Formats: sequence, C-alpha cells, structure tokens
Amino acid sequence: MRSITRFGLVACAVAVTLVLAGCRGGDPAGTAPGELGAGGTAFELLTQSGSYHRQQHTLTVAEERLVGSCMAARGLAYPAEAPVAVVASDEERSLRLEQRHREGYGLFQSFAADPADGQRSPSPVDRYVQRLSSEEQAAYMLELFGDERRRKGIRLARSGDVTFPGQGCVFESQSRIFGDIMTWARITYVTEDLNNKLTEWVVATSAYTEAMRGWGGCMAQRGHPYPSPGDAKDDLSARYTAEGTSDRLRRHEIAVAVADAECAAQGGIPRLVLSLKESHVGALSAEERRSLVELANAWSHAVTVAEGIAG
Amino acid sequence: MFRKLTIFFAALVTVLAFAPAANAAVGAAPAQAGLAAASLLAPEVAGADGDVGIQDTSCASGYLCFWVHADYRGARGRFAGNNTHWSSYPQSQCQSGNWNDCASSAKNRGTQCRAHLHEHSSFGGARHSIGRGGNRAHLSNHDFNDRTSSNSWC
Repeated sequence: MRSITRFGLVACAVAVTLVLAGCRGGDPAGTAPGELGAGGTAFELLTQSGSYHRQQHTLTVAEERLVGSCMAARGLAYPAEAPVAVVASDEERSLRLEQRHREGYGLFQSFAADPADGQRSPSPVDRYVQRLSSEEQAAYMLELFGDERRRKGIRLARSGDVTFPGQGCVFESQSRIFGDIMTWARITYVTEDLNNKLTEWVVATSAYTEAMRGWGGCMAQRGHPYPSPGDAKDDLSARYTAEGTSDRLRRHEIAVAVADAECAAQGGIPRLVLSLKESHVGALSAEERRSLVELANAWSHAVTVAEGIAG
Repeated sequence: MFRKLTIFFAALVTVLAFAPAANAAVGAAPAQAGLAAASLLAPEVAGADGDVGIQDTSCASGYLCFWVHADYRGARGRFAGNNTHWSSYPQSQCQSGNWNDCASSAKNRGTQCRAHLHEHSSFGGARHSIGRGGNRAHLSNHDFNDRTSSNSWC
C-alpha cells in the first residue's frame, strides 16, 4: 500500500491540472456528437473498429523504427520484422472465420501442446534476446526499458494501476510519437478501460440477449446446443481435460467454432454489438466522453507524426 | 462543483510519475536465460500455501509473467506465446488446481509486443493489456482478479 499512498499524493495534483484543462470548454459534455458516433475517430479508438487497425499499424511501424534506431545508437541489435498490416472488416476481425476453419477455438493446440511451446515467443526480438547471456540480457533490457526504479504509472478507474518504462528506447520512441509518455498511456489504457465498461453494458441489454437467443437456436439446429460461446468453449475444454486430445475431438471443436462464427454472422451480432456501443456511449459520464475526444485528437496527431516517421 | 469535478476526475483516471522507490521491488535483474528450457509454469516460488518468505518478483525477458497473488507474490507462471485456455496449465496454489481464473498480478517483459489478458478462453470477454515493459501489481484491487483465462500478444 506504500506505493498507493505515494500514488494518491501525486495523483491529486495531476488530477486538478487535468480537470482544469478539461473544463475550459464550459459545456459539461463538451463533445461533438459526431466524434462519438460510428465513423468518428473517438468511437473507432474506443471500440478498435473502422480505421483503427490501419492507423494503429502506422503507429506500430513508426514505433518499431524508432526503437530499432535507438537500440542501434546504443550499439545493440533489434532484429524486428516489419509489422504486417492485416486488412479485414470489423466483422471478419470479430469472427475470425478463416482461422476457425483451421484451428477451431485454438483449444486443441493448447491442450495438445508440449508445455515448452508456451515458452516459444513468436517475436524475433524476444528469441534473439533469449539467446544472450544473463548479463547481456540484463544490459539489453536496461537499454530497452530503462531503470526499473524510474517507472511511470497510470491509475484507472476500473482496472487499477499500470506502470511502464520511464526511460529507455521504448519510452523515448513512444514519447516522440505521442508527445509525452502519459498521452501514450492514457490512449492505451483509458480507452480499453472504457471499452470494457461499454461491453458490460451492451451484453446486459435485451437486444443482445435476444440476439444470443437466436444464436443459440442457430447452434442447436446445427447440432451444437450451447446457450453461449463461453459454454461451448468450457464444454470442449472439459472434454479435452477428461478425455485427452484426439483428432475426433479436434474436428468437433472446429465444427462448433465454425458454426459459432456463422451463426453470429447470420444474426448480425458483430454489427449489433457496435451499434449498441454507439447507442450507449452517451451514457458514459461527461468527463469520460470529454476525455475520449481529447484522446482521439491526441491519437490523430500521433498518427500524423507516425506517418512522417514511417514514410 | 469544482471540488466534485476534481474528485470525480481523479477517480476516472489519474496520471502520475511514480517516486523512484515505489517500485524498487521490481528492480531485480530479469535475466534468467537458463529457465527457457525449464519446465513450464512449475511453481517458481516455494511454499505450500503461496504465502512465502522468499519472493521472486522478476520476469525474464520475452515473457508475460503472472502471479497467484497481488504484488507479484505466490507462485509465478509465464508464457512467451499465445495460449487459448489457461486451464490446461496446472498450478497447485490455485483453487482450481490450474491457472484458469487465478492470476492476480502480471508483468510483460516481451521486447516487441503488448500482452493481452483475456477474461474468457480463446481470447474472449474483457481484455486488459500490458504494454511492453509494463506491470499490473493489483489486478486484485479491481475487477480483474482471478479472471484471466487466456492470453495473446501484439
């Protein structure tokens, strides 16, 4: 609790500053309706929909380029591959139908995996660093993330405290793109916190409940009588635990996962969720909405900076 | 009104710089190259009930590390890749006997990617991210204690 006490003391001073900055507009809502509606930058940032992934790709490319240059300037390799842009609609991202045809929910892979598989990172930089000696790894992480005693942090209303590097190449790169590290942190964590809140509201609506009832009917017609996707996954996991992995169970998992996605598409559930989020975004507090718009503006500016770096 | 606004906004989100000593516990050198080939998710902190005297709060480079208790206490697990269902990884200090719905604090020492903790298996439900180099010491103080069922990266 010691750190939280320190947290609180500094927090009050910063909160006052933020409130003062936020009150300048006078209007307690202070948000343009279009910003928080579908197609608006704030809504896309909040729900990671629309152009979000394209913009985020630009930010990632720029950040990776800056981190690589920073590490090189310190005499260290950063063997990252260029991030791949995945072009897909919101519905495709939500349903991942192609992936489900290949591996279902991915449960077979988890249950059949050699435990050592969980230790194999898909990141080439991770794999490179893990081949270094202990001393070299420590030196590498110090340059990348800075001194552990010089961290910065953010406190979120719903999901608690998050701390992150306050020095090092990652800190320097994010600070350059976003103007300062706290803007990066607020964009990263506050929007996620609010999206989780919005999702909780959406799944409690009668419209969503009704849509999921339709989903359940569709699944039952296909021979998979589950009340929700969560129940389907839990049942499959229990069977893997009880029976062990087998080709038969793997094929069953794929059939259930594909039916799940097709029934969701048939019922328009991904579109419904976005639409319900749009209709509920006005129920966020005035301060939350104002924060979102401010963060969306900062995000757009960061994307412009990133475009200049990424080329 | 101004006072109410101040209190409300502080509850919404408060941004600050930590005093250097606040996270001194995470200052241990993360390098543990020899562990890469060691058995996965075996309790790396000794103790039958998780309330142990010797704490290892470190997290080796390239990993998402997570602990049974807040403040990086109790048994530690770690993943470098995506995992769709943590129930397939045993952990005796967890009530269910596995890591599903058991993590209370976490660190991301992946060098390239953001780590995502997901509420449900196969990356479903609410998502809580940890940027590279990031820490979440108190999932237990909020709404995500013992609620992680899968993880993904980037």
